[in-house]
Amino acid sequence: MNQLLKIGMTVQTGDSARSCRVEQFLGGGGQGEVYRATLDDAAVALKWYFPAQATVQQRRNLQLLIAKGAPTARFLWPLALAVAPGVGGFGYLMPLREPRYKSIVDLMKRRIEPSFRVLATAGLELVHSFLELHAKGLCYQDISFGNVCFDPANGEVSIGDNDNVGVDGETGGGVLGTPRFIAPEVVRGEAAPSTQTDLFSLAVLLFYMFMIHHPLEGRKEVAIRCFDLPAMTQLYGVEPVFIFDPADDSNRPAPGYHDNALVFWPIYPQFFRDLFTRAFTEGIRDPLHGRVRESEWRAALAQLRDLIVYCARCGAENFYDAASGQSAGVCWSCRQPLRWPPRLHIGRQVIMLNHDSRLFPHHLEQQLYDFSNVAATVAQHPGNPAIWGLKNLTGRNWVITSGEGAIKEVEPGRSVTLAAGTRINFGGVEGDIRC
Amino acid sequence: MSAGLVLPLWRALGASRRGAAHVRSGLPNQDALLLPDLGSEPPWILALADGHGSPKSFRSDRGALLAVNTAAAVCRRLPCEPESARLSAIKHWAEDYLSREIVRCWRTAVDEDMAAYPLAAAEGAPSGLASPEGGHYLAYGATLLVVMVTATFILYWQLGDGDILTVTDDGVVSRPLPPDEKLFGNETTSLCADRSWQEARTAFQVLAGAPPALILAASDGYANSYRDEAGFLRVGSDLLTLIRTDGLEAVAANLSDWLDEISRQGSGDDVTLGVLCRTTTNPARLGRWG
Amino acid sequence: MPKLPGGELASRPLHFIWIADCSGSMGVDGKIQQLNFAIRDAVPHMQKVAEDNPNAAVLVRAIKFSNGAQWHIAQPTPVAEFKWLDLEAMGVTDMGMALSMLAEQLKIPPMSERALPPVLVLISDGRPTDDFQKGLSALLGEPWGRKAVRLAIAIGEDADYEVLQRFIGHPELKPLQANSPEALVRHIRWVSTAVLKSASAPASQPREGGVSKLNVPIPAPPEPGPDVAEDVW
Repeated sequence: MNQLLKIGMTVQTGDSARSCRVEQFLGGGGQGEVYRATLDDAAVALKWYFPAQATVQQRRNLQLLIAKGAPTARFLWPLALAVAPGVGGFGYLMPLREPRYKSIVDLMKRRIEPSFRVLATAGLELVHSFLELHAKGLCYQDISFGNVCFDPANGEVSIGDNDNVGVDGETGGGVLGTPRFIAPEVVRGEAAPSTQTDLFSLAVLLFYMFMIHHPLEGRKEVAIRCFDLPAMTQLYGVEPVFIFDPADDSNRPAPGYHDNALVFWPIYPQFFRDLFTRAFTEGIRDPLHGRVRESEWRAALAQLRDLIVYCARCGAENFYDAASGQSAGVCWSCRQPLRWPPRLHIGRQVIMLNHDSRLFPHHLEQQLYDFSNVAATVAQHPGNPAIWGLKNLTGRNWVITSGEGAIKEVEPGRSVTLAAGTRINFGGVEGDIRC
Repeated sequence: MSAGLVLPLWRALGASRRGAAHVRSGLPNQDALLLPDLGSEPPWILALADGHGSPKSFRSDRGALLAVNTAAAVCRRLPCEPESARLSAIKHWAEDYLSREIVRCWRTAVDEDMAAYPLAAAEGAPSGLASPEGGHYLAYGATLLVVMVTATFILYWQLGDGDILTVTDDGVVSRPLPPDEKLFGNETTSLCADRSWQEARTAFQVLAGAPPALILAASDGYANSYRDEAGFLRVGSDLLTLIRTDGLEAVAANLSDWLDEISRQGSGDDVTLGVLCRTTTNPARLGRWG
Repeated sequence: MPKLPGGELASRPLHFIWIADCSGSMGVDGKIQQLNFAIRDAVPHMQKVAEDNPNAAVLVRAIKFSNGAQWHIAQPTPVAEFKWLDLEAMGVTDMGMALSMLAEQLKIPPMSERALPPVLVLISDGRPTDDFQKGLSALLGEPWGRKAVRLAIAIGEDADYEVLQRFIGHPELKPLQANSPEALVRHIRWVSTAVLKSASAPASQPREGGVSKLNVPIPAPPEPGPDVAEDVW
């Protein structure tokens, strides 16, 4: 199937002239072909461009990216240019994606069924990756969700095909691939890709992950029978309408065509839906100031994860929604009433206390997010399994005031019973338990 | 046409034969084959559908026919001569939307056929004629394979069992589509199943100077007639050799007899084969055989 | 006509496997002789069905269980050449072991990917004396084990229906009850002809697929506000 390179041939890396052996054809895209190759006994990926794509501009861009280095280890970043005597054009080497990562395409085709917890974690990692990319002064000129991958077991993210990353403010403009993830002003040709337009792409990616559907594809999309550039420019650029725009119902999801959007949207809490609404109403109208920032997504995704509740009957994940009140709550899966576990209120944060809930530093002291540092877990009383508590995994004492007014200390390693009305002073902040 | 691209000269041939087992049982051929008219402008579309032929799929011969026609109509909507920059967009659309469109349009065609020809007891429809067990789509159920050739790309698409093979100029045979791990034994994914579009497999090959010399699509009755996978894959390279040595017409003339023998000695199932062959010799005439 | 392209043609293998109970109780009231008779009697009819469907290569063998389990006729035998060897009754009912051994033979290899779904017929008159579930899990852990047509014949009233139903694995199909020699002959004839005939058909079966739900195993949620003296522990 491969056309550009032969299996078994060697290519040279551009700089240090190391040799790399082409081992296996992995697949072809719109810009080139990807192979598995061996460089000094290590397996790497080798992308080789079609002649029309092997331009001076692309080469220069690659050299810049190689020099800058990857923003984080989550990016499968260009490592070195590759050339082959006898074969025209060029390619580049990058790390090989491990098989445990699946793309959003796999999610769309329901080949994987990650939990909401995993999706929220993957969302957090994606947001973090975008943030680091932008901090380096870089942005995407194009992004396809075939390149955004995550491990369905734990939400770890891997982002590939970064050869279309450009320098913020210096991108050439023009849509390379599909307009579906590009900000409308870029689709219309009025602006070049930038970190600002990336915020729109990020919003679309997150919407896709949580709704398994595109935010602008409703009734208007059904009407497109002919796939041509004017029609797509119209849908994604000239007349983009959010499918759940509260002020405009012309593009609502069509049942039978857009069922995912209809099924998933009501599952999420109101604050999360509101953020998407903002991203695709103000975010479209006001490219400069109306978009949701990475930090806002991060806070929202962390909060979303804290609101997960397990249905007592069927085990499906649901979400606690403060906006709809405590009495509401029917499992989306088995349609039975949900029973809320105890929850902890710390300032404006609400954390549901399931058997597997954990607290992190950002819950307690408004620091940077650090999900490797567990501050507290939910624990069962060793003598009486009917009693649940919150276990102190920090280095300092907590002071609790029980519902009756008794004051006690909770040393590190000990737990406080989850009883309604208990107030916990964690040191920097206070929280109270409600049931 | 983009400069620097030589338009390959394709030929098409194919045949569909009723299976030996169906001859014995009196069932009709449930496969359908659509070969491209190479005298016209690209795209050139080869489509092959295999009706399930089970008691619950008693109209699957019609379902197969509707499937190949639907596939051709939907694929025609893809732009065929895009600038190279747009190939990624077409690839993404083919991966995201094509499957949904084909399944939707097939179901609409089935609805129309049902309306025009309501089910009759004589067809052996189970009791409850209005909505047969499994839904009326099951009655028309079929698998579908599509190959679409243009000047700039080749699209391979498949839903259900059956096989698509490509052969290079050197005779190397490969399967352009990833395997469907859900296919096992005699079970298949199908146009009639819920959310079937999710099960479809797509491969998009940008033409970059070395397109396949031969592309072959066959219903599962064909591959099931061989003792092993290697024996079936050899069909690809052997066909290319035969076409080059004996000529296309000679191969086309033998095809029906071959398929009969293959069914008789092998699976007993309907056997359908569609072939696209690239030739660089000066064509005496364009067209199709079979 | 010039030679066909491709490799060797072959009809599709269809493995038909008898799984027979030879426990001591089968020796009572001549049950084992009746079983031997019924199977031997069915052979020519099986051969006739196979002749009518030359595209399926029916291969027959048998596994027996009493104290442990053993292949009674170990080689998959083309049905045209198949000769039944009489079973003898003695011992307990190690059905689970028979299923485990069967599972081994349904791996790929020695099975091929191109085969038709196998037909497995379990015949028993009593309760398993070993770990039946373990054997059944091993069997259903193999793709061919899952895809096989699994049938069961219960001889007499002491047979364990629940176990046989679990082997079958489909609520619409029930174990066949053989309370008389005539019934046994009838059931044996049915599985080896009617069932064999439909298993030989080449028709593809559309999968009954559903989209799996987003779900997690059920954890017990913490109970809110227990009335207990301890606040800290």
